[in-house]
Amino acid sequence: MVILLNDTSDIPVYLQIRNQIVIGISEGKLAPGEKLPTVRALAEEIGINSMTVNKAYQLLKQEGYILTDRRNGARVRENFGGSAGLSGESLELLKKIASEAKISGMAKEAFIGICEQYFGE
Amino acid sequence: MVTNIILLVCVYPFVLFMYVLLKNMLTPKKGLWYGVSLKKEQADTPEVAKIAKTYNRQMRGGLAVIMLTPIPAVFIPWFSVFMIFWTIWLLAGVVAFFIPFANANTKLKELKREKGWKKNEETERIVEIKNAGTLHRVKWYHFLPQSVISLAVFVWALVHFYGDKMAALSITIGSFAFITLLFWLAAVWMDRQKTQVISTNSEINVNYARAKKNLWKNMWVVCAWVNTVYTVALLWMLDVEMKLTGFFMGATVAYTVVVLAVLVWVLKKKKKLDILYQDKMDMIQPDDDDNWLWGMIYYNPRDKRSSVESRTGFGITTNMAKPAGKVLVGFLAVVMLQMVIVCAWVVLLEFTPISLEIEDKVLVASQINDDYSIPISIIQEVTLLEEKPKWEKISGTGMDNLQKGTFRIAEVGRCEVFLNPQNGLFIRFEAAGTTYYMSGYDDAETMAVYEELIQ
Repeated sequence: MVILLNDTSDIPVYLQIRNQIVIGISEGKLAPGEKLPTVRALAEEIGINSMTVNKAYQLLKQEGYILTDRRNGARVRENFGGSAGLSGESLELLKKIASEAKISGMAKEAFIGICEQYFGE
Repeated sequence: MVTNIILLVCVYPFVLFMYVLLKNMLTPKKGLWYGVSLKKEQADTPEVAKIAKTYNRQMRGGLAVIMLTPIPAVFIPWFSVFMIFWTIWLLAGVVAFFIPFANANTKLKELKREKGWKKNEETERIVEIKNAGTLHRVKWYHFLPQSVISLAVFVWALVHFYGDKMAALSITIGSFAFITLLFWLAAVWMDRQKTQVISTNSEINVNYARAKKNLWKNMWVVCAWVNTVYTVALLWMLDVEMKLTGFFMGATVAYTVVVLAVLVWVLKKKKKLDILYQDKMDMIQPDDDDNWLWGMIYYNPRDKRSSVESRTGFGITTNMAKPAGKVLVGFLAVVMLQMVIVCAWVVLLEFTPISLEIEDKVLVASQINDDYSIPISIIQEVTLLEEKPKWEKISGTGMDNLQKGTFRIAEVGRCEVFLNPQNGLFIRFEAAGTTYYMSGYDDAETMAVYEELIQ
């Protein structure tokens, strides 16, 4: 799976890694149970500090996207337990995006169309 | 003059190799024209065609000058001047071929800015995470036999020549043995490079990286074997009675030819690989042209990596903004300085007259410093020769007007030599079990010392 990171973005690099992996899982580019690179290998591949990658992996683990153990490293979870809902943080983010769309004069159908497009992917 | 012609034949392939290498660079690949990222429709404009035309003209001019200049140099009678000429020529060869490339790169960057083609994505990083850190082709057993043989040869030479006049030569053998280890290190370093993202499909990225790393690995394995064989041959040459100079030159030429052949073969394979994957390269690369000085030198302080995929030519290049880059620059500076020192030393050797005299009952042979000081009480069997024997140099200096150091006469053995071979008189004597051949600055000086010795 290919990930894109932007050095000048306001989003911290660890969060960009987390976001890209979540997108990869949702798009099926990372299969359930698929092994992720080790923290050190991914840090070397990207050219950043291991701590940054470790922080991203810890967040993914906390959020229930991946499992980590000392022997097998990090893996994508086989099933995500299904709370069938968004976290409070994501809901806040969605609210912010919907508000921005509303203020910009975007039609409700157009906004839902974009949501459907991403959800479908 | 014969030596000059041999040297010309040995060094000439370098020019052709450089030309082949740059011809390979010339071919636009992965959306890069002279190290500048361009889209196909941008590359097809008349402005880019004009830059390409200028580049081709400058390259042809450079090749003609570099190929023709060594021919009159064959007639240079002084070895040191000839050597300085070759050193400058080699450096000029590199510069002459890279200046047109740097020119084309600079002009294309300007054109990109003028036309507004420049994207503002230089801060974007594209990373392939599939198989990250596990895509290695170099295994320890690929280089172990060569390293063990090379080191064994070095250890054997150290033990065998210990306390001998040849001891210094074991350092030469050690240097070549060390090169085998360096090849191993270089192979591991290149094998650990990050996967280049050429496609949105991870399978393509991984397969391309695997094929490329396999090619690099094979190249280093062959080079390590060639170097090992050369190291063994060097030991054999130093330890067995034989024609040293001829064998040494033959082995060195063979070494150079084989390594160049391997490099050309790898370049061709790499080109074939790029052609094979050309249609699959659908990833738009970030525009980081400004991080590449003249399209060749990578300088990016924001990038933590010490080495990156080379934009031009083959393999990888060092990030000059990182400590590894600074070490490389330092190393190159030392090499350049060493070349200047060696040239100056050879000039000093060739143009400083030798001197042979007896001072306080000690025979002193000196040139830049005192080369030999032998008490005359231990000197025996002094003879005056009108012709020097035929010998081969083992270590020391061998020029048209100066021979000094350890030499070997076929079926007789080693001897110590300090003379001007252009003279007509030479002194031969024994001292403490060693045979010496010496002469003064001219025949009058030699004769004066001889007469004093036989009294």
